[in-house]
Amino acid sequence: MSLLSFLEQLGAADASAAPTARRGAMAQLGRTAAAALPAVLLTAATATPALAQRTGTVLDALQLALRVEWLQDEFYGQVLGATGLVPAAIQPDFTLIRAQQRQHIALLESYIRTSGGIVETRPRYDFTGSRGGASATRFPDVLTNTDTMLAVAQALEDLSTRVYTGQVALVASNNDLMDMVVRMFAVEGRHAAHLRQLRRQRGATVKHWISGTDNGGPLPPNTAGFYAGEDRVEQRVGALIERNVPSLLPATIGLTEADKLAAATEAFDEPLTAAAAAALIGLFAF
Amino acid sequence: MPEASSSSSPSTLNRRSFLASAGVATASLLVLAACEDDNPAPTTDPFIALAAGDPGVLSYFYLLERFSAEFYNKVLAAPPTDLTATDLAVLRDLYRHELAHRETLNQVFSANGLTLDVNLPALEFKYDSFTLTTRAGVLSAAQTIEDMGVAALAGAAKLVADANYLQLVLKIMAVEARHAAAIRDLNQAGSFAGADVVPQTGTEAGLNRVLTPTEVLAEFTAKYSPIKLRADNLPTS
Repeated sequence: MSLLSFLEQLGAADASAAPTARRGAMAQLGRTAAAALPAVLLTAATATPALAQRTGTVLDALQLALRVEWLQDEFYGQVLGATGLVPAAIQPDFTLIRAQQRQHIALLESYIRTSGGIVETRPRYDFTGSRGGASATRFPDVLTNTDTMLAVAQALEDLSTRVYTGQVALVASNNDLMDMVVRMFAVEGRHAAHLRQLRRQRGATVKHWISGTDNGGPLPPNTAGFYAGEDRVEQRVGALIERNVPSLLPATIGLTEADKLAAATEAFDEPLTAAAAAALIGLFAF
Repeated sequence: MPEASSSSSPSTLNRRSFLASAGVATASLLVLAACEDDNPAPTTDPFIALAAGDPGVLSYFYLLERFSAEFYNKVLAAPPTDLTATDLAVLRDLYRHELAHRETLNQVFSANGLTLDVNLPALEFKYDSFTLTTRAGVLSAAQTIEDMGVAALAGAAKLVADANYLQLVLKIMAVEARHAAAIRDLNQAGSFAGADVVPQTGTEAGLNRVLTPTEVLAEFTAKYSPIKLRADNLPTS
């Protein structure tokens, strides 16, 4: 793909989201000398524009990833700042997770800016879910109760993993960008498993992976949306071809039907659509 | 089910069976290296070269999933006595997940008429570089395998051309990252995203380590595979 068609794709119209930022990006791209563009853009793009444009643009994907990373950065910032909320033993873990999220943020923001895009304004956050008092609280003691805090943290890390699962493919047309985003994705998966481990240590019955819909998550019904669709047992193995995964597991190892169902749902994280992700982020960001 | 032992004289035996299968399987992608110019003696080791394009990349992922599935099979068939019930429950889940990945990838080949190298499903992996008789040995081996798997997927996801295959691979990758962190935390609490797998400084800070297929297959050739595995034909971008 040529540089020009990649730039077109980066700014391609997709009716709904952030038209202003996109118009700005295009205007700015017009003024940006090629020399100022990052190497990743210049080496851009060998594959399938159809893939990249399937449900949104590259810019949409990066901005959504950024919204999720911002959300988590803000969350860890607030909880680490709340006296006595984060047990001393896990403060280093939270500090590391937050540092990695901030590294992702710096890379994503820098990429968007140097590509001529405009980074959205970072929203305000309310982790009780009341949107600054505008609606009923969902997690009223999130900043005072360690278990509630960890429950919300887990939901946010699972959210992030599911968002990346869906968004990574949208940047596949650019090898260097894909390399960066897929490596962030792997780190988010690590964070999600660790939050689950921290909850296990406090007696929660939870695996490191999402099993079925995890019974609505750590605090149902308010966390149910984070796990909706995770109980999928059919996997797409080709265009319009799906396979029932439980039935693929070997009969020889003595699994019950329930075992097979659990394993088949745990073995794959399911992508969240951009709309579902935006709604979940919107529980806390306003 | 315990895996058949492949400990005694593996190279001779396997080489013979690979040569045999190369003779009969017309679709086989097994390639015999050319002999050194005028020296007819078969001094060059045979090898398996993974195919070009998506079939090659998917074969690579299949190989990784088979390797890890059989690792857990082997461990669970004779678990060290110092593994805890918690460890065993995690290892059992990992085994089932790897089987689900392996079998689903297998379906990608059959459903789309792609050729999976006939030698890959029969390749007898070697696990003798690991200590599988102690908890520490098993968790360390599992950590090596899971971290390698994540780095391999992170390094090769971009090589997949077909959008459906890519989405499947990404769904798998999310769970492999969970596996790696879970095992690392069992091995050493709080090591889920340690600096050895996610650099904390420099230009790669915050990004999971990546491995190319060439790097991973060299590791397999050195430690885990009875026959040389080559990535020459795989796409590189």
